[in-house]
Amino acid sequence: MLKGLGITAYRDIMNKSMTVQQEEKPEKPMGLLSRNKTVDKEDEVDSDTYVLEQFKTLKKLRAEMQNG
Amino acid sequence: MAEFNPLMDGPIPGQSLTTEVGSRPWQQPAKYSTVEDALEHYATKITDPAINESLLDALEMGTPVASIAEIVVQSGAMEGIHTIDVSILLLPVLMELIAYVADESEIEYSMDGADNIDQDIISPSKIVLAMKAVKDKMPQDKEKETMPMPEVTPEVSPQPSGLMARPNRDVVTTQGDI
Repeated sequence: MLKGLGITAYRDIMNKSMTVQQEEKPEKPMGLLSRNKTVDKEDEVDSDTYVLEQFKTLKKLRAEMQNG
Repeated sequence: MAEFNPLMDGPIPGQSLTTEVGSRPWQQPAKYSTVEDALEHYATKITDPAINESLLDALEMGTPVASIAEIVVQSGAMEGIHTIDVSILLLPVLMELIAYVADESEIEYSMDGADNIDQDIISPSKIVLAMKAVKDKMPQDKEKETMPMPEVTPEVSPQPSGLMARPNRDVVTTQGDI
């Protein structure tokens, strides 16, 4: 059923982890009298981002272990 | 008569429809519907030293990490733990997790099985596994057989009896004693 899919998925996420940069959050207007106060979005993490974050964390742990 | 072809050894078209709908685990709602929950389910099992011994044995024997991860998620989907979509999303993270556990246990492994394995060279890990299997098969309570040691008796040299022979110094006889 999943024959060979593991390696394909692994390569995909490896490429993605090397290329995708984290989006920089726009700075909030800090002034007391500022009218452009933004409303915080709900911190929802979709499955793709979650998987990528977990993958990066594990990759970092492995690299740390291999490099002593 | 037609020869047996392993490629044709699959289910008959429509075989899945011969059972009642909903009677299979994968036809029921999955136990974990999100990737987060499913990953947590596997992570606790893979990182548990009491459970992952057989997993590490399989890695030592040369089974690729990708194959193991595929089998794990496939069986999870068949048991109704998660859906096939979730299993595909999980695959790379599971592979990385298995590789991490193998690194931690200092086991050499292959990610995709593409490494050329020299069949003539037997790895030390395989030798250790074979020795362990032989040791387990040997009866433990068998008494050790000891070799009978022959008794060593000192050789007694015969007493010299000639006229010119020197008397034995061990047996000193004097006339006064007689």
